[in-house]
Amino acid sequence: MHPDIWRAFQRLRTLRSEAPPLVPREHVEDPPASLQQERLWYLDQASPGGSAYHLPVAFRLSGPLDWRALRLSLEALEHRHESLRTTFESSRGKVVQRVRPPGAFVLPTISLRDEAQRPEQQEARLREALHREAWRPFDLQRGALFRATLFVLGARESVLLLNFHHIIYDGWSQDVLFRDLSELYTLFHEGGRSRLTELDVRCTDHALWQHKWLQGSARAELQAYWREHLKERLQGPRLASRARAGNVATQGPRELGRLPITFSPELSNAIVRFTREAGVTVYMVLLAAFHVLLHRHSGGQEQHFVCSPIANRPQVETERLIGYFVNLLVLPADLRGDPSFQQLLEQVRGVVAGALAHQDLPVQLLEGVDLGGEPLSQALFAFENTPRYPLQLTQLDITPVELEGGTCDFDLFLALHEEQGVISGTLKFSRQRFDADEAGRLLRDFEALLGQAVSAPGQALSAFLPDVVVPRAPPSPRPVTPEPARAPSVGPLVTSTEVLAAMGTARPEQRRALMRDYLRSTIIRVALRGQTPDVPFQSLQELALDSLRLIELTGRIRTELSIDMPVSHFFEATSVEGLADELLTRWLRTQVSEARAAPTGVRRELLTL
Amino acid sequence: MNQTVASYTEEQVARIIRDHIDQEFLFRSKDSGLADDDSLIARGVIDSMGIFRLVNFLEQRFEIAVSPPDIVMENFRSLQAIRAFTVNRLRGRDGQESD
Repeated sequence: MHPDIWRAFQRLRTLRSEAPPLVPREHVEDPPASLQQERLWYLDQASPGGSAYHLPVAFRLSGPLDWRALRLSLEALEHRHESLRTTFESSRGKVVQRVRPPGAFVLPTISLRDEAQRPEQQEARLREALHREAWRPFDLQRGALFRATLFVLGARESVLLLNFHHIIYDGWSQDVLFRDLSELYTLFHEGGRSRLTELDVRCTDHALWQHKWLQGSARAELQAYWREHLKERLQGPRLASRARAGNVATQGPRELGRLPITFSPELSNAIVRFTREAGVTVYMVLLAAFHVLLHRHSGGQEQHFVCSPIANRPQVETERLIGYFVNLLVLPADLRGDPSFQQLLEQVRGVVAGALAHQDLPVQLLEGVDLGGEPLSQALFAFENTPRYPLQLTQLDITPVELEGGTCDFDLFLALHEEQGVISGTLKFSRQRFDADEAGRLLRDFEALLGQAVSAPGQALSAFLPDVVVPRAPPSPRPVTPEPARAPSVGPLVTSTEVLAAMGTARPEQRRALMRDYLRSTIIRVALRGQTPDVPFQSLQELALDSLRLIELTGRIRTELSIDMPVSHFFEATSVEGLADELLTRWLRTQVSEARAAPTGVRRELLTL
Repeated sequence: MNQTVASYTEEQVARIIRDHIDQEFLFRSKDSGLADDDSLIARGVIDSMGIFRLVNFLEQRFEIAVSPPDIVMENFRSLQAIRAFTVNRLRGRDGQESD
């Protein structure tokens, strides 16, 4: 590996050495959600009941299934991992975790046995049942966010569906799940008890730790890095011709399509050999090739960014937890001047090394970074090379069942992994943006350009995929250059402290005006980064804010005013005035309940409203 | 190789590290055939984030401190290198404790 990568490790080590210790706690009142969970919670609030964050997995179990052992294993699993018993709610403007005490686990078991049916009829019924259960909405507040269902097909044949909401589960969790479940099943099947060693920490401990750590100087240090490295206005790759709306909340659900890919052993070997000679990792070569693919398929767009999930399990104790820890890294690429693949690769190495070192900042804490009103998740890339732990249940043959359907919050997600020297994976795509043929073309082109890249890395990018002729995508709804004309802000902006101080003694009409001023100035301060738009805005939709800004804005208002207004109300409000009035009503309600709780007469005057 | 350092023999240190790598990084390749001086990095056993998992493991398992300048290729190149580094740190820890 190149010295840059080692230096990145050292830097990450230095940054993390300043972190407080991760301490297990017995009981914490209202433990906060982690910053990653908070982001998902807001996204869920923005489009409740969506299935973009479902992570279902299904297996066909052939052989003598021990139903009792399976149920007990799932119960023990839920006891062991607090996250599987956790729900989320808003309390005084903050997202908190609620952990219910462990109880009996119900394993719904649905019989699809019918001797009169032909096998293909049964398969059709199974597919339908799986589909229904896999995409049945989760309720983050009421739960449960972990569900298991067993579909019985015959005496020795059934299908187990495990379903998680992303807010309590991630890719890494799958390994933990399979390990724990495999071990538990064996134990219960043999009539034993769980012998798994106790977990040292829980997800709530980690969330507390994260809030504590990212309050201090570490946050500023990480923010400074990202501000410097993402200082150019960023654009997502524009692959399809259809212009995208900037605001994720205004988009309908996007249907998810999937295509598998497996590289030939020759290509896999060639890539691995090449990485050793070039002093880079496999991840970097695949990412560089992905950049080229996007570049060629966007009609030569020269600057774009790709997001990449990173496991983010900073302490060894968190490695054994089921939970949602993933951070998204924003990885820009600059393809101006027709560089060679080798040059691009060097650039990618620098970008990735820096991102690795500064990976601990959750995306919504990026400050001073202009994502041009773009959702982060247009193009995602993931690669892992740690072997995946297989689910193993005693005496049963287990084969994964591919699930169909579902929705996604991205346009394109290329997820690859390497095992035993072979690179394979899945291209997931939004069916609103690509059809299966287009997605298949992308994968074929990706393979072809990788073959070319590792055999002739000195070639300029213009020599790659010469057959791809894509007209340049039309400009984005918010033009990138020149900067949209925005006058500098004028006049003092009203802060929450000022508003709340003045509210107490203000007359009802003044309160409305105060709240409107507060809302407008908060929108300008938070969502528009202090730039007053040249045309007055009437509603949030007009501003076409990206999801991160919306999350930040609604989060800020909810926290500053200590109110629990559903995030969807922010999106649905048709005017700033209407929204301000609703905020006022809710704020007054909290004051009233506070006054009631405080009989000494704090803010008693509010009760007369 | 049978010297005892901080209540571990060097052999025990070597065994613990190898078991960990087998279990966490190689568990699917039944016969890894990984020699003591094979390059873990060139063989792709440990990639960028794997180093961190390994460092965390060494710190917790052996109660040693790994500082940023320790995270260099020389210390993580092979099983042998990791063992030598760990034994070295264990000695250092022992030295500090007897002060």
